[in-house]
Amino acid sequence: MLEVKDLHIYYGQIHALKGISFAVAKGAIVALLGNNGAGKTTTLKAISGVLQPREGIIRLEGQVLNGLPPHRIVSLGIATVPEGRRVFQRLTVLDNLEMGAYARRDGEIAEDMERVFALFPRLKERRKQVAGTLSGGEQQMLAIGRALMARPRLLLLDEPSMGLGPMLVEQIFETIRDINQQGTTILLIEQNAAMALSIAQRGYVLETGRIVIQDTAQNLQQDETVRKLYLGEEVT
Amino acid sequence: MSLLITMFPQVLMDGIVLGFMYALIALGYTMVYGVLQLINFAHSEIFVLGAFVGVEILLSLKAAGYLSAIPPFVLLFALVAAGMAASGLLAVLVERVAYRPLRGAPRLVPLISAIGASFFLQDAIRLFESLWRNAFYLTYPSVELFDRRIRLGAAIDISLKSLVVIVSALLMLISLQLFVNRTKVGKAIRAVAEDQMTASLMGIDVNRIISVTFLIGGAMGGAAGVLFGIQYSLINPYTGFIPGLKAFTAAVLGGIGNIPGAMVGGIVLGLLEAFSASYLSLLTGGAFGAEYKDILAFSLLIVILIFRPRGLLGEIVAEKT
Ligand SMILES: Nc1ncnc2c1ncn2[C@@H]1O[C@H](COP(=O)(O)OP(=O)(O)OP(=O)(O)O)[C@@H](O)[C@H]1O
Ligand SMILES: [Mg+2]
Repeated sequence: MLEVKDLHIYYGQIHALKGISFAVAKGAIVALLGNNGAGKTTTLKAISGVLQPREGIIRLEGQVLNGLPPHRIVSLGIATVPEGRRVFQRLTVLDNLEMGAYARRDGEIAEDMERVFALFPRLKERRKQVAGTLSGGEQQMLAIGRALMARPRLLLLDEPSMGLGPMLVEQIFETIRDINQQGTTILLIEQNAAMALSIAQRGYVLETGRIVIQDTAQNLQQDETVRKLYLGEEVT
Repeated sequence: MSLLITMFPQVLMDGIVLGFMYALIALGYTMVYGVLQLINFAHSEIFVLGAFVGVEILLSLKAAGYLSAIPPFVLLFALVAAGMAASGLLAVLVERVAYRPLRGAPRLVPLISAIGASFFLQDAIRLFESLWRNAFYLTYPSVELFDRRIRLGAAIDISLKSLVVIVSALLMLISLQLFVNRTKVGKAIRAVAEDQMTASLMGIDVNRIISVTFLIGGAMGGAAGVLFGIQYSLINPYTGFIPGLKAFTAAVLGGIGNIPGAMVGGIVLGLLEAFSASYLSLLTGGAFGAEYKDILAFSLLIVILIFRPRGLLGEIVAEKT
């Protein structure tokens, strides 16, 4: 579904992505792992059109995304849950969800809103509340709900578990799996590698702008380096 | 003392008229600041263009002998609509030409461009009027009905045109408030003001929303220009400078970037100014006349800002991260 080939991204002189290639199959959950500063968010921003690649190509079901502005890419079916949630603090929960559906022209927005409320009943209780007054967990739910309102074919999630307690992390990951089972392809960025690999089919490990390991999630869970570096296990 | 009291209602009325005028102009500053963190110095000329479009229509109608044939309220509506259209489009054009190419440059750069655009427009209007009418100080022809005065009780008597200013401004402020809070595009303006990158990730065409913001802010300024002409009659290409500065002040007073704040700030400033103008000489036994009104008004303003540095409604605006 998504195909990234030899992608190079620069911030001025800084060479942040040094030719990475990967693919996300239709219907899959793919995890993109890596330490701080590895280039995960940068990869996501390139796919969503916020950053333009210096070299390389990004394709969604064959269509080249290079050069398209972010709002066009959204209407092609890619929605993002950005790093740090970034809900619109001064807008209500309802208005945030409405913004998620901004590019849509069909008449089924109300149904999708109900679907989001079924997924996150807490958001329904707080729908008239300004998003800035929500708790961190509620804001993460809103960020996910808002992205779903675009009815994406491909959902990009940037560290959805960041800053959340274990219970909530569990719930968020379950929700991600549900969303995937309802037909949305998912590219998941995580520092919580154990969690990510437990729901993903495939994983890529980024290190300073390069993909250093790639395999099925199952194999990665067994991989010694991965276990040592990302799963925090002592390998003897 | 009794004079203080008998004057009060009239001064209040004058202050409100002035305040609504400032409020309308202040919206343009505050909306643009909200989305781009830019002080649109050309907004005072965008306002003036509205005033000139109004006077041109009136003078042409007068020359053709139609002025008295048109029902005054139809005329008013047409003038305001024309002023809004012209100023709104000019604002969009200014953004395209003077600000958009500089997006991403350090913040002082578009500010200089804004000052340049302001000078350019002043002299463009002056040049046009000099060629077209051989004069650039113009007077709004009087529309008889609007000069009529209405008694609202023993001490207040208000000209119909003041009432027109208040009612039209109020209608526009209410419509804008509804637009920004209830419509999808209005909410998108607020989303872009808060976080451009995330707004674009929601499928919002940020450039388009910025244009819409300039269009609306400019249109409000244009309406204010027409109302200014009807109210105070005499205009020239440099007329916008003082009301522009004061409206900008009103926007800061209300909390820059905050739309209801601009409305409140405008009215507070208008009242401060009107009361300073009327009461200063009474209160100082004639030592200071009305010409010192700005000193009093702005001193009070500084005091307000010392206690509320983010402006009167500033606490609603979250700090940008
Ligand atoms: N706006 C920017 N300007 C300059 N350098 C940047 C910018 N954004 C990111 N970088 C650099 O690019 C590299 C990759 O950053 P990126 O944000 O993609 O990392 P990440 O994998 O998402 O890290 P984290 O897990 O901390 O979110 C880092 O070295 C970072 O310092
Ligand atoms: Mg990141």
